[in-house]
Amino acid sequence: MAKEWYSDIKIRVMVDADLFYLKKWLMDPVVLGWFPMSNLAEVEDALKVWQAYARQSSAFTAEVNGIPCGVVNLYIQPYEKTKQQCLFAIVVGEEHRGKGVGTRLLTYVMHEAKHKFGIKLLHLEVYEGNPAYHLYYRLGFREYGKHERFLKEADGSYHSKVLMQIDLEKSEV
Amino acid sequence: MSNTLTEETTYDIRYSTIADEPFLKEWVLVPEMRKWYPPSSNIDVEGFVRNWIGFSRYKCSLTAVYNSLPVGVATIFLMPYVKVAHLSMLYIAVDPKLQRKGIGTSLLKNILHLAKTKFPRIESMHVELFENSPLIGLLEKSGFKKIIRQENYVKLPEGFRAREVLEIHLR
Repeated sequence: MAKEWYSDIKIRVMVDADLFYLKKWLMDPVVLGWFPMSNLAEVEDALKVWQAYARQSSAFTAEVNGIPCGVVNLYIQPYEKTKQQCLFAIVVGEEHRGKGVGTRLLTYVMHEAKHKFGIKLLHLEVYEGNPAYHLYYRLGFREYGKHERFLKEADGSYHSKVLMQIDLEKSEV
Repeated sequence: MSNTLTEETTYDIRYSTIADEPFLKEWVLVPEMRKWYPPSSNIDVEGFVRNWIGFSRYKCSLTAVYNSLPVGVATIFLMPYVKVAHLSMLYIAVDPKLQRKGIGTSLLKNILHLAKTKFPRIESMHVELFENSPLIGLLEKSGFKKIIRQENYVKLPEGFRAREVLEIHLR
């Protein structure tokens, strides 16, 4: 049976308590495989970065019936000359996949980036083979480059990092 | 070559130390230099330089010295996570008063040698620069290749410029 989309997804600014969920999602080996971190210590280090962005209100949480199901983080830059571009990262809990959470979070963050933060160029990094690539493509992100051999797995194999972006000034979000 | 400093007896290269910070800061604060680096305000430059020179504690940073004073710094930014520990990023700056005298070339040669000999996990080194940065020619001469170009990344007084990533494989 096809998964049904959640009918009522709410988006709000991320709070510290959401880090508990993010940590749980990231520690799933399949999910972590798509990130540069590979163990608990590295995930906890990454969570500190997320927390810093949440505290400056540039990270957001999607929730359904009060339960967090995904988070997105705009790495808003402090530097004047690069402030019109922004990198972001998104994580959706494994049990909430295929239910519209990623689409809702991304649509929201594209709107916030453009209208609240004045971002022109919104971009992301995704490892080759990650199914999230299709979500990004569907929402208008296009590949502008690739960094070969970016991730090295324990078995010595490599994965490329694909770089995608969207020009929000030309987008109708 | 008469305008090359690196042949002179008072030129040397040593490991960087935290004490090099004020010199690096002074160079990056010069407007003509600053436009090629990410920070904009004076406070941005301070934070940027402190983070940069902080890597010196891992013995992955070299300082060029001329007449006992620092004249250039090249630093390997080591990657924090195991899956990306085979990558490294290079930061380099030369005193704007002494550019085009061989210091950048000499630092680059030495930092590549340091990466190859003392950091066996590092397989490649990349540099992120703004389009038209004077460092691009120097890097290409040393074997770096352009691998990524992102248009409209930075806003300089003369307009939007691309971000370029150059990379070299060490092994």
